Amino acid sequence: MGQYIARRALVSIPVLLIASISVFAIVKATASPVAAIRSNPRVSQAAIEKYTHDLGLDKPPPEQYLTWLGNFIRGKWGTSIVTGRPVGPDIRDGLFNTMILGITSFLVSIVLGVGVGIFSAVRQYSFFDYLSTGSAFLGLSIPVFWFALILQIVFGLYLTNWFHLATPVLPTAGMFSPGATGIDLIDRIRHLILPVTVLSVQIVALYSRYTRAGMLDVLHSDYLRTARAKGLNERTVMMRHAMRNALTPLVSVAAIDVGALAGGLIVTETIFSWPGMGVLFISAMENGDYSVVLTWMMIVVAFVIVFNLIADILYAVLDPRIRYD
Amino acid sequence: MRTLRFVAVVASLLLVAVACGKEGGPSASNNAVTGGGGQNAGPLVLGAEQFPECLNPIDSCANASWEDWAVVDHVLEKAMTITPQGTFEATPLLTEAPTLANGDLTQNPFSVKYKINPKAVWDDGTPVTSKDFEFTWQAHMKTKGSIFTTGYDKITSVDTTDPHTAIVHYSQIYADWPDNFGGNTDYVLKAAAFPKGPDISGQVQTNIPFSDGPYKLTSFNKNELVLTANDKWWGPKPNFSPVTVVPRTDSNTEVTSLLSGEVSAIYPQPSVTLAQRLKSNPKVKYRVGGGSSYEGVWLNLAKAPLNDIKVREALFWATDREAVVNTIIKPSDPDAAVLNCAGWVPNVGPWCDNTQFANFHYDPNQAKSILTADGYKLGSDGIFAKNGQRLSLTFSTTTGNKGREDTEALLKEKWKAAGIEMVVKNYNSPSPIFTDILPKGNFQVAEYAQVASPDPGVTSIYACDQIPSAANQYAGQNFSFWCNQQATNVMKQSDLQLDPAKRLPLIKQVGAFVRQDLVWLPLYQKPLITAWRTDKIGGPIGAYNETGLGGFYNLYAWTKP
Repeated sequence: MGQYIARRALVSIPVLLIASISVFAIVKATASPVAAIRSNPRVSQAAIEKYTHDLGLDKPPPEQYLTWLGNFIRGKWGTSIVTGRPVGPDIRDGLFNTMILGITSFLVSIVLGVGVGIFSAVRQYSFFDYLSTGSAFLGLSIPVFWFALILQIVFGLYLTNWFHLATPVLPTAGMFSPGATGIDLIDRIRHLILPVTVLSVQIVALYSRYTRAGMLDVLHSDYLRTARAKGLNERTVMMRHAMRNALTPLVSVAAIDVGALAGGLIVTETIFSWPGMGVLFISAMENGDYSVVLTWMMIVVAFVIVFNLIADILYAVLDPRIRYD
Repeated sequence: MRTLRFVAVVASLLLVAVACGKEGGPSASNNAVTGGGGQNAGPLVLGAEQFPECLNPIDSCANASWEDWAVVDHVLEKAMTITPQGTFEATPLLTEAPTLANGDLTQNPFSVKYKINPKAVWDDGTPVTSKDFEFTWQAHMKTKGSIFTTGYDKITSVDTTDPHTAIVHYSQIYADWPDNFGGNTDYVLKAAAFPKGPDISGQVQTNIPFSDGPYKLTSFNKNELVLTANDKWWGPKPNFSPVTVVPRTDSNTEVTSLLSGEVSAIYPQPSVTLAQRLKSNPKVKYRVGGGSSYEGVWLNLAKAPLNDIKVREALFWATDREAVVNTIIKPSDPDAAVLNCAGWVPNVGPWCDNTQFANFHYDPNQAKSILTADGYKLGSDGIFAKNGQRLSLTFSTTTGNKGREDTEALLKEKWKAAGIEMVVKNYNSPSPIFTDILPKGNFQVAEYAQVASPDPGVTSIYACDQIPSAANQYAGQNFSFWCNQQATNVMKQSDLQLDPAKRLPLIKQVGAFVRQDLVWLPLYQKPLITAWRTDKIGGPIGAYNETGLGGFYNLYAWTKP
């Protein structure tokens, strides 16, 4: 296993390099930090040339890339070429905020998705099964941005007007109430409810389908019949024997999902004014701010690689037939 | 059970994380109202459509208008500012505006004397002095990545002999002098706040720790920024404090937040449905009007067939500007009208002659007559052709701008009725359309906007020496590739004229040249909207809606209802 992990870590280095070169080329080809400045009538050509020179944007692109890469390897993430802000703290804060939103949604989705999936499988063809199956297809079909806007209108406007409240039933944007001081846990949770709901709807739908299918595969298997014949109660049969096998595919999917969270939840973060990795990426990409985009990308790819590795390891842990030696 | 325990532990950790969220609530000091508060109207929350990412007023941060609108306009004072009528006037920082009449402007050599108000102090009580003007000039010139050097590069020295009088000497006459140390984007900086010298790069990116404006910035992060009243400000005291500005970068969320009362005012981009949504809440009021940005159909005069003035004239008759305004603008601004000025707008100074293009209205038959007289023949496909070349024009604008794309669709049909084919080829903005396509002349017809400044100089967009070329590394913004030496001479003459009364006829002459050569066709002024909750704010909100200073500029004067 140790060798396997070391091999995967080594393979990930060229992956990171290729990814960074590709992203650098895309950023350079599609956006320029000088473009917005050039379109400002108050900025003279002399000022544009000075700006370009001061920021090293007049150097050949390979030199710009190698300079960035050298600094990155030495742990110097530098400053944004557009905002002059240090890249490290911006990425750290963005990642933290995204993780709050993403992990909360993930936990809610796991609990609900697995619960609904198991119950549907155990009560196959019951009213609940049909209801959960229909709801899952609906959940998977709803566009995220549309659902978010509907929730904002319902909880921010309609219900508030309905109950004649002075403030919205649920806040429609932000991580906490404007001007709030100190830490108000209830306020933070209230601000999480709508974005988490939006994110969870699709994940719950997906996970419930995985769980239901996995459970149906094992429910009528011989080893469960044997477990029951040995006199184990139904709860133990389900929790200890059925779930372990049924959830193996879900575990690997979920581990990869957690890794992908680092990339941000662009639509949800934008709509709910949530300053996470998605918002950071969009802003940097639009401005051609390659110093931020490249660092962002390296972090995200690293997360994806690590969590893919975790998924593989978990797979082996849950299924003893799998060996990586 | 182990799984449940695991979930419980992770959930507990998450709750702690939620509570500690990065860049969370401001520190306790942020909530302290530090005086001011003339009317003591209490706190206020504003929504910002493009939340500023950084605050340096000299480098590329300053290219973002929202940096000024949300923060710097309220924290730092300008020398000269812009009135709602689009003219320059002195701020409370000066005792009076420099003019030729009072002798504070001298022509030969050109100098500007700023008489600093003796009451003007920074928030630590130290006076604003001529040294601060000198420092501001040097900061614009010496800061790494400085973008606003225009005008400052013509200053030779600042006389600081008298702390209350800054005499700025220029190497030549610079008619747009009010845009230095003030105007739309500039401010006076505090020299003592930068002990390392005038290169202020990287020093005020996330905080402006000094103020000579009505507010002080007490907190700035990606969740919000907080302004509190500056009790040392010598002007009228702000009524609302603290003022919290929060990002609302999604336009639907922005309006929902206003309607729900989470924010009390917004300054959104107009859209067809915006007015309708705002009207849905009786507690919400808005002011809409044409701003300083004007949209037009710009032509590449260097390329056939638009190098033929007859084709341009036919195209103008084939362009239904009334329909464009009715379809694109009137849903949000019912009072909007077709713009007819040749490079200015009616509400920014006296420079616009709004009759110059007024005779052009949609008349496809007139367009056809002109083309026929010019040797074009109508083909069987309904499109004119001459010497085997069909009259097919490429129309370019910025991808994703719905108003412009709708304009294209509308005009395509109108042009076709006049025998002119439109081929749409759009590009992303700002790159590559403003960095590559327009400067290199790789277009025929383009729709985009220009901004009218209180300074009426249009040399940068019309003069012969502003035509981009490989020789000048595609510098200059004369994307029409129009060169009329007579017109250029008048523009240059106007740029040296300090007396607005004497400058006016020169500007009108330039406009007449633009009209005569049919350089471009104005469409409309882009509307601007300030919307607010009447249960939270009284007045005079919206007074600066149509200026480049934005809807929040006079925040200090807003009152409770």
